[in-house]
Amino acid sequence: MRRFLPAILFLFAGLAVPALEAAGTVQVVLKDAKGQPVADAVASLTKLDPPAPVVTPPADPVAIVQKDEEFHPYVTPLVVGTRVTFPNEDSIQHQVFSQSEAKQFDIPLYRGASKEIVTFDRPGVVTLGCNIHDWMKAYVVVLATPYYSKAGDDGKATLSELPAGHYHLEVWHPLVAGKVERDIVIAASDETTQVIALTLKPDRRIRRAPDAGGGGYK
Amino acid sequence: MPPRALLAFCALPLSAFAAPGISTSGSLVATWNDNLSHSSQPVDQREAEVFSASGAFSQRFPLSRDAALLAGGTAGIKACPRFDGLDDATAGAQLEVRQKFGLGPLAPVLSLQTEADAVAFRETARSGWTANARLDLAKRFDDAWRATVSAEWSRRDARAETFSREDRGLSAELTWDVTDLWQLSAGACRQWGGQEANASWNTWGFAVAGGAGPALANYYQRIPFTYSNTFGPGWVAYRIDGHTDLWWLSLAPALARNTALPLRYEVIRTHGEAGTHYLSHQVSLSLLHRF
Repeated sequence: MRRFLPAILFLFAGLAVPALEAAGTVQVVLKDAKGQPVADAVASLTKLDPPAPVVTPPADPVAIVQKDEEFHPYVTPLVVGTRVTFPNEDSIQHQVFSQSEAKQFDIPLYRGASKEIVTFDRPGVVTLGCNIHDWMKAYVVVLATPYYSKAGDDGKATLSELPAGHYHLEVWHPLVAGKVERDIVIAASDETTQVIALTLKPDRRIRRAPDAGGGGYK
Repeated sequence: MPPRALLAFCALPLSAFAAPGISTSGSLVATWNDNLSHSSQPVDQREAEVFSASGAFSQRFPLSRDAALLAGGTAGIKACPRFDGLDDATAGAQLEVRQKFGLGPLAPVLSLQTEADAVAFRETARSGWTANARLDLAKRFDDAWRATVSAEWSRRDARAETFSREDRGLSAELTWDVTDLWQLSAGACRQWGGQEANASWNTWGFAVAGGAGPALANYYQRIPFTYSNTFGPGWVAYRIDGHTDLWWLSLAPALARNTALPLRYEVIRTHGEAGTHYLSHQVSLSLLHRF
């Protein structure tokens, strides 16, 4: 083993050096007009300098689960070419559809494991719905860049392992009309923070609470 | 109705919890009506509170991408502490065909609902069967606004002819989800057909004897009537033909994702064939929950 130790150390050092050189990090902090953190915003960076990064979809499909008559997660960012399954964990049937320009599909009513795997092959925002339960809604943000992150409840989205260079930063959120974007420069081993204030529309979703509905004289 | 049979009726929706793929819902309703006796003379008008509990279940069977058949059942009990002859237990079956014209929440939905129920009243002359068919066309305009127009037919076959009736109705309702929490809706309905009315012996005897004019006396002698002690000793229940207009306004806060508490105000005006009018106002508070 001792005979091979120098070779192993050399090999690890050789792998580590390029990664250290490339490792820039951007933390995007998203707040609303009242300064409160904004969850579920997707921050993405598009590299403006050559070479363009290789976008490789994950080998395994990503799951968007239907549970308690809602989609989970509400917002799913992924790269072009990613395959998605829609397992239904409710005891009742659901249908999944999209009429968005970036991807249109329609999975008939089912329960349990998803019968179809949908490949998101064009960048853009895809709105998901269930034709039975009108309040069910979710978004898939299909990106042509490997550099992206979704803000958690603390409103922070961290993009790491970024090669040095010029980038175009875009932020998307379901309640923000239009694009929020800016150009930034990232140096090697740079750790920068971008604070972005978002102007949010009211969060109006279709009401799911029951209503008595109509009525005659009984 | 025997108590065991009543319990079995009420347990019907609860048994659906055990079965996968079945939707269940329940409601508790407290209602106050200022003229529950449907009396034309102010001296006879009896106000009362009515409390009810009901449950429903349904199973969806897809017929195509946009069409489905829903089959299910309902059961409920109602109590009117002041006039306990109106206490009842109901159990029945529902069948609905629903067609959505396209994908998404803005697509119009046409549904035909049919229901048949067995109803057992404490005043047994009222007990019998009811059948109901309703055609709804609902359209959502955006996340907040929705309209529904309906046509309805219903029939009740009771042990006493007085309490048997058949009517048809047209209604429209506009619903506004003001916020995620608050929902406001308003509607109107007109129904044609038979309606029950009640009168004390003094009022009935006066009218039948011609005290309110020969036309009314002749009319009252032609229509079905029965002695009913529900609203007092010697009262008479009778059936008139005519039409009933309803207007309602409902404010429904959502208590949780699957729970709402609608407060509803209704004005009900019946115009009888013989020129009689019956006006009542009703306020109800419901607790609705979808399991």
